[in-house]
Amino acid sequence: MTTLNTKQEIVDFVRGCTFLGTGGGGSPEPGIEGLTALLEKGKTLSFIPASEISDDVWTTCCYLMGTIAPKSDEVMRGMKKFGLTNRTIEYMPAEAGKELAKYAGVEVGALVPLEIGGGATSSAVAAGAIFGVPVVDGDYSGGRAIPEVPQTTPILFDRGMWPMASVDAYGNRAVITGASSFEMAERIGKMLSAASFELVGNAAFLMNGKAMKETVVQGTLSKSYAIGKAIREAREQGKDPVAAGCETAGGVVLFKGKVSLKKWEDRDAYLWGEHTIAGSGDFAGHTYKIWYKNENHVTWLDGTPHVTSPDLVIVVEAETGEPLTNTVIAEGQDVAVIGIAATEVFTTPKGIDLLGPRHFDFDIDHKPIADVLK
Amino acid sequence: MPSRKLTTKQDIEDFVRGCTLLGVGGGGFPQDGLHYLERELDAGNVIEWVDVSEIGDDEWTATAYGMGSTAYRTPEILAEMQRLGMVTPKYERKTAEALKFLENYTGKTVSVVVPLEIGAANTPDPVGTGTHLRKKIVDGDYAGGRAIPEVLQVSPAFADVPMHPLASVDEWGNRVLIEQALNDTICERLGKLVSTVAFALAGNATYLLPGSRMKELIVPGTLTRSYEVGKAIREAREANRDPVAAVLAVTGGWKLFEGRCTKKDTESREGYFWGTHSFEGSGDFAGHAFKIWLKNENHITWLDDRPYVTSPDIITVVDAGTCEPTINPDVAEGKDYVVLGMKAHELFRSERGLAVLSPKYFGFDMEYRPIERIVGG
Repeated sequence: MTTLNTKQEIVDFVRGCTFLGTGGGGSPEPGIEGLTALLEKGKTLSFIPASEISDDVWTTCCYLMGTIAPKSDEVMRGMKKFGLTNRTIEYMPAEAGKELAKYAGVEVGALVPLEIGGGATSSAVAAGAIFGVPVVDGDYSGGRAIPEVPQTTPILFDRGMWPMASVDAYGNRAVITGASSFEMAERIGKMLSAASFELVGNAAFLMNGKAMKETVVQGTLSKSYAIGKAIREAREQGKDPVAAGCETAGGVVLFKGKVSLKKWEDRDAYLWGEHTIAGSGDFAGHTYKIWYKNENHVTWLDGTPHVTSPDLVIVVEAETGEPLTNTVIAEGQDVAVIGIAATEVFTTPKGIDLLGPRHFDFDIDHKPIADVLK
Repeated sequence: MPSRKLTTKQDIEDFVRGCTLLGVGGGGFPQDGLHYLERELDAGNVIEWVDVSEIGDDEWTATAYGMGSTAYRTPEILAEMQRLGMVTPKYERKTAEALKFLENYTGKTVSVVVPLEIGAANTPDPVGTGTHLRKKIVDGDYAGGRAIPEVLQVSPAFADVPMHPLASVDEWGNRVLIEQALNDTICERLGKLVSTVAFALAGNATYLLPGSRMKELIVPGTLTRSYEVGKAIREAREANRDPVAAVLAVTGGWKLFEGRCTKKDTESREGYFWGTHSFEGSGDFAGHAFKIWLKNENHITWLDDRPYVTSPDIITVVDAGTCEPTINPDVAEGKDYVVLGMKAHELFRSERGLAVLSPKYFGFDMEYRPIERIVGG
C-alpha cells in the first residue's frame, strides 16, 4: 500500500500523474487542492496492489468526463439560463459511483482509476477516500491518459462499459444503460457533460474483482509517484529534472525548443489543437509538431511523422521538468518533449487500432518509438 | 362520451389530419402519425381513448413521446452513424421501449398513457404506444391542445411537477435514464442532446403521475377535438362545402390570411427547426403581406409588417384548396395557403403560461395581445 501523508507527497504524486497524462488527464491544480483538502480533513489517501482485492468484490471506475477548455462569456450566459449557478456536488466522480451502485443494486468495494492524469487520477484517489473503499494501484488506460473512454483495456478485453452513471456539480444525474457501440456510449456521456458545460463525474466498468485483475494495468500509480518525486529531488539536488523524470519513467527526450505556435479549439467537448516547437540546443534548426485531442497523439519531426500514440508523448518545462497539460502550454515557452513506449496491451493490433494515428483519421502507420529512434 | 375508437383507415386519417392542424406547424410528420396508428390497426389492435373520468385516482399514468428533430442525413452523417454502430435499428417502437424502461426503473406499472401535446406524429405516437402496450389512453394532453417546441411549455411544468425521472430510448438501442435534473430547462436540454447525438428521434417517457394528479393537470377532450376537426374537413370536402368554414365552426377562430408563400427562410439548428415564412395576399387579402416566425411551431405573425396574432394563440397554415393542414417543413414557396387563428387554451393565457410561450419568451420585443382583441372586433 502507498499512502500520501504530506502535501509534498501529494504534489509529487500529482506531478507524476500529470507527466504520464501526456498533455491531458485534467489539470493538476484542482487535483492537488482536492487531495490536500481531504488530507486536512483526516482522510487516508492511499492505493493498494490489485492482488489485494478479492475476486467477488464489485469494482468500478469513477472519473471526470468532459471538456477542460476555459469558459467563454457565452458559455457563462448559457449556464445562467439553464440555472447552472449553484454547485452542490463537490466530489462528482464519487457521487457517480454511488449513483451507479444504486442503479445496479450492488455494493462497490474498490475503485479503479480509469487513466493516469493530474486531475483524473487525483479524483480517483479522492473518490476512494470519500467512498471509504480502497483504490487500486493501476488503471485501465495503460499508465497514461486517453481522450475517449473506450480506448481502454476493458474494451480490449471485451468487458462491458455500461451501465454508466453521470453526475454533474449541479445535481443532474443520468444513467446510460445501453448503446449501439462503446464509442456511442462515450458520445452520449460527452453530451451529458456538454449539457452542463463542464466536467461531470462518471462511473462505468462495473466488474467483479476477478475480472478487474485480468483487465487492469498494474503499478501505474506508484510509478506516477516515483516520477513526480524524482523530478522534485533532481531540482533540489541541482540535477537535470527533465533527465530525472525521463529516466524514472523509462522515456527518451525527443525534442527541445521553444513553442512557436499554439492552435486550439474546444469542440464536441474535446480540446483539439497543435503545438509547433522551434528547436534549440542540439535541436536548433529543426521543428517539432504535436497534434492533440485532449492528449498528445501524433508528432512530426521536420514534417516527417515521428512518435505517435499509443506511445506516450509528454511536454515538460525545459528548466524545471514540470509536466505541462495542453491547456497551459503557451507560445514562447521553453519545453522538452519526452517519449515513452506504450504498455504491452496497447501494442497489439487491436490496441493500435484503438489508439493509433489511424483512429484519429491520420493516414499514418503507428511505428513503435524504439523503431522511430533507431 | 366515455370513449372513442378509431376503427378504419379513414378514422385514422381524420384524426391525424386534425392533430396536424392543431399542431400549429410542428408536432412531427403526418406520414409518421399515420404509420404509428395504421400498424396497430393492421395488427388487429383496438385504438381507443377514454374520458379522463374513466381513469382511477390511483392508477399510474405517464407521457411518452418522440424527442428531437429529424435532420436530413447527409452522406457524412450516414458514415458517422455506421462508425458508431447505428446501421440496423434495434427497436421498431422506441417510445414503447422508453415507457417500459421507465416502468422497469421505477418498479411501477403504468396503466394510462397521456399524450404530451397535439401534433401530426406526436399524438399518434403515444396513442399507438398505448395501444401496442394494451394501456388506456386518456382523451387530453398536457399542452393545451396544441404542439409546443419545448417540453417546458406544458401544464405539469406550470405546476412545478418535475420531468425526471425521464427514460430515453432510440431505435439504435441507446438508452439513457435521466434520474434527476436540477430543473426542467436542463432536463429538456439533456434529453435533446441525447437524441441529437444519435441523429434520430428518441422515444421519451416522463411525468409518471398518479391518476389523481394527472386529472388536475390535463387539458381534457383534445383527442376527440382533433378527430372532429379532421373529420369536419373531410366531410366538407365530400359535400363540396368550404372546409375552412367547417374547421372554424368546430373550433371557433378566424381566417387570418389567404395568399401565396413567397419566401421560405428556414434552418435546422440545436435540434429545432427555425425560420420565417412570407406570404403575399390574394382574394380579400390582395395587396397585403403576411409573415410567420417559427420555432418548430408557428409563434409570431405580422400583417403588413405590424405585429399580429402570436403564441400562445394558435396559428396554423392549411392548403388554400383542400384545407389540408401543412407542417412547417412542408410549406413551400409558390403555393397558396390560408392561415387560421384560434384562441389559446386558458392554461397558456395565465402569467405562468405567457412566461414560456409568448413573443417576449422567444426574444421579440412585443406584448402578447389575445387574438379576439386583434381580429374579433
